[in-house]
Amino acid sequence: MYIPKRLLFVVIVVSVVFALYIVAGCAPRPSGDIVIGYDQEPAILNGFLMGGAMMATQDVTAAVLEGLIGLDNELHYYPWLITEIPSVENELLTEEPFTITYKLREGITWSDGEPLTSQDIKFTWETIMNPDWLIISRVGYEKIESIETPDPLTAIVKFKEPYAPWKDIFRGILPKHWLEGKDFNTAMNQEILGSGPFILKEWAAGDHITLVKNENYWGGPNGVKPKLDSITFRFHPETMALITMLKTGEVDLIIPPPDVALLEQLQAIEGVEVQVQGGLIWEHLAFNQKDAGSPLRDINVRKAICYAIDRKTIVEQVLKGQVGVLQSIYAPTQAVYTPAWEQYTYDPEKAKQHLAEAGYTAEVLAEKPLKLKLGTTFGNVAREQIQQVIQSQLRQVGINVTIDNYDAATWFSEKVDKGDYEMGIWAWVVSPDPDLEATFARDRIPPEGQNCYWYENDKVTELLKQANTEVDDAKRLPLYQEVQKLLADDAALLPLYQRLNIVAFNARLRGVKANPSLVGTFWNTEEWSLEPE
Amino acid sequence: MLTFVIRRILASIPLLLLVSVLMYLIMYLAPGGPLAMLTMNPRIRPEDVQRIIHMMGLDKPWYLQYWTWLMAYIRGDWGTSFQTHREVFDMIMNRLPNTLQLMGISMVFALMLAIPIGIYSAIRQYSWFDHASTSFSYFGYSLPIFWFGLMLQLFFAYYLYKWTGVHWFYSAHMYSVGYEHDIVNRLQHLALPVMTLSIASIAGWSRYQRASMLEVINSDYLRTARAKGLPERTVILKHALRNAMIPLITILTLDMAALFSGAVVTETVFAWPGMGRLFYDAVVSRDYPVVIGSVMLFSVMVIIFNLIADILYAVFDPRIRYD
Repeated sequence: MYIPKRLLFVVIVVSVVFALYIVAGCAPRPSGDIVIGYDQEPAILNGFLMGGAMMATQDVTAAVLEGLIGLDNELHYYPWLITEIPSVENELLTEEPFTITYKLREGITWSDGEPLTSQDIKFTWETIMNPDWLIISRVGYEKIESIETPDPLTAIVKFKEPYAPWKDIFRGILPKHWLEGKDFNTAMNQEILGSGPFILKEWAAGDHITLVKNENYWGGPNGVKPKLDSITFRFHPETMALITMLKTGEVDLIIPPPDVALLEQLQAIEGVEVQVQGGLIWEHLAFNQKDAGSPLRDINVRKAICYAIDRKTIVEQVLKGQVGVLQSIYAPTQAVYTPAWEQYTYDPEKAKQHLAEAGYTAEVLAEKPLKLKLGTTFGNVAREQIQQVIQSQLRQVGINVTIDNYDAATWFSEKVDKGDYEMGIWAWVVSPDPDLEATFARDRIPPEGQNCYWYENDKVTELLKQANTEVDDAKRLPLYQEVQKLLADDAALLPLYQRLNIVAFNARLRGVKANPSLVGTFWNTEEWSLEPE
Repeated sequence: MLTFVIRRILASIPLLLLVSVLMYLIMYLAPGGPLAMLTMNPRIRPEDVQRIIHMMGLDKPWYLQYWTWLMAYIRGDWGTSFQTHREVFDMIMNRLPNTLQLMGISMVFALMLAIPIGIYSAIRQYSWFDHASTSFSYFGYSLPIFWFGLMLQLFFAYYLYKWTGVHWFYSAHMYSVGYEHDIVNRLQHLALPVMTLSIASIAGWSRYQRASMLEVINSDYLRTARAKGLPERTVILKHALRNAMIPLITILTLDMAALFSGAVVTETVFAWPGMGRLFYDAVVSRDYPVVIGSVMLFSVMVIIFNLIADILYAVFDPRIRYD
């Protein structure tokens, strides 16, 4: 076909000019600026509101808002905005009535220069309890009777009753001078003011959030000033694309999903460092004990299943040995952990004995096999593979498992929460505090809580309630050890493994210490730095 | 013509009402709700969830919620998002320009290639070019967009960078941070998503263009034009093309509604902050006000472009009259 020569000439000239421009304009990024490739954009920056109960909000604001007590990457509490953690010994904690005195460090200011005072602590509590705001959780704060502020650095918090998980509240302190008189449902959603090492600079919706260094930072518990100039979170929902961007240097750090295949791929990339550890999210096999006629109400059937499943093989085959078998409902790094489920080593003979005790002898099973449904969320590769292994292992002892999966919304809200399942696989996120009353107490069966097992054990319920009012750790931990033992003896559920926590980043980035708890990867950004190329 | 347009606009009002009622009903019947995932969070008590459900009015029957929404919508209030607590109208207006930019450029680019390919294939029917473009069409039409986007990223963003040390194309987003107003940087970001989006359009449209061109190419009036002694170029571009464009214009106008709805898959692969992703994310998080706001916008656009297609049809083909 006829193409005018003049047009062709213009096209060639324009292309050459563009190419030269691209080559010339390719300056390396300044070494104080890093880019995080993040898979989900936060809906809002206010983590206290409906819509803010997501990891993205926590991660983006972790370097902006600071709390009274922090949690480091080894799950130890440390005094953050306060001088020391209250205890009976330092007389900042009294048991009768239960009162905690917080002593703020001197010289802490908000990023706009205003001093951070005990008034801000009181304001935080008042805001959370204000009925006008769409506050997502008042857990802990509702136990507070009053807060007194005798001087700018002291806050005396009086509780209505002893509340053992008190270290988990006041994780973020709100600036009273900036928020007072504003509508909290909208004031802190697109902008935020904190006392942390970084300040929100801009949020380009759908694209990125940029934080810049807080020049006035008070130094944090270790007395350091932020070394990076800026941290930009770029949002990209696609894991494979994020990995490509890490390879091309468009991003410096990504937090991929806990997938063993991805881990191996990331470890092979040159110039990329990978941190991997077991996190505080644990997967388990749940037994629903709701219906009177369900075979799972029989402890012998549950025990038989626990003995018939070879968890070691599951972990080695499906998870390539990257994690070990989890032997309890807590992470091994938590002080409260007891390997109570160790008794359930793979033993098909024992499984058959227990089945026989429940009335399912070999003869009975040959005539009428025991049929159970096993459900989980669609599309979760690891869970689906584990389902298949469990299915074939249970067949060895005469239990016929049918797979019955749903999308996450249906599975959790219609099946698990309504008790309309037989066996299920899902994960719990544990908070660093061992409180599990909402998950295992008999009066916390849905809709009163998350006891989706319909597990009813009065002793466990009583111990959990007692532990929640026991503020002396030395007396409290043994109660939880007893709970773990009882849950294991009852075969209330079968823990499988801790989900991996993976962070992959540019090897020139220093100071990253991924935190396996919900505090997340960005808890110590003031210590991060980028080595020049 | 005017009465036809007025009649069509009036007829679309009950249609829009029906769409909105159905949408509300579907959302109501869908499993889970805006707070579904929160019930499994041990840090959130059932009392908290109940309190928020009540504050957001989600404990009312669906028809009352619908009525509240409808009355506000008629007054021009699109509601507030459950997740971001922002005005739905603002959220949509924030994303719409991005989608218009991506979809608009892809459409123009696709047209600029599809029409010449279609014409040339028709006038050189069964030539090697025609065979090649036919195979390309089948290929382009059946290509999984998701995979194609990832491959483009791998070759043009990763390997090209690795071999030359220069970022010729970027694998995602609209611009590099700090280069918002740099047109070249924006083009480097646009190139790959535009290629991904255009490939199927080029494949489809060039087939339409070829088919309609073949229909007119042997007609009597073209023989007349040639017999008059007109140069072949004038015969093809002036006499044949004008008539052969009518079917394509109709299809194009109908496809125009996609300018506003965006493309979920491409926007996801290339992290393009457009309408498709806004809508998809809203469905996943059961953000009802955003879902219904977007659906209403898409519905209005489909109706408008259908009407425009009918009008254009009459404009280009004088034999068609609406009374």
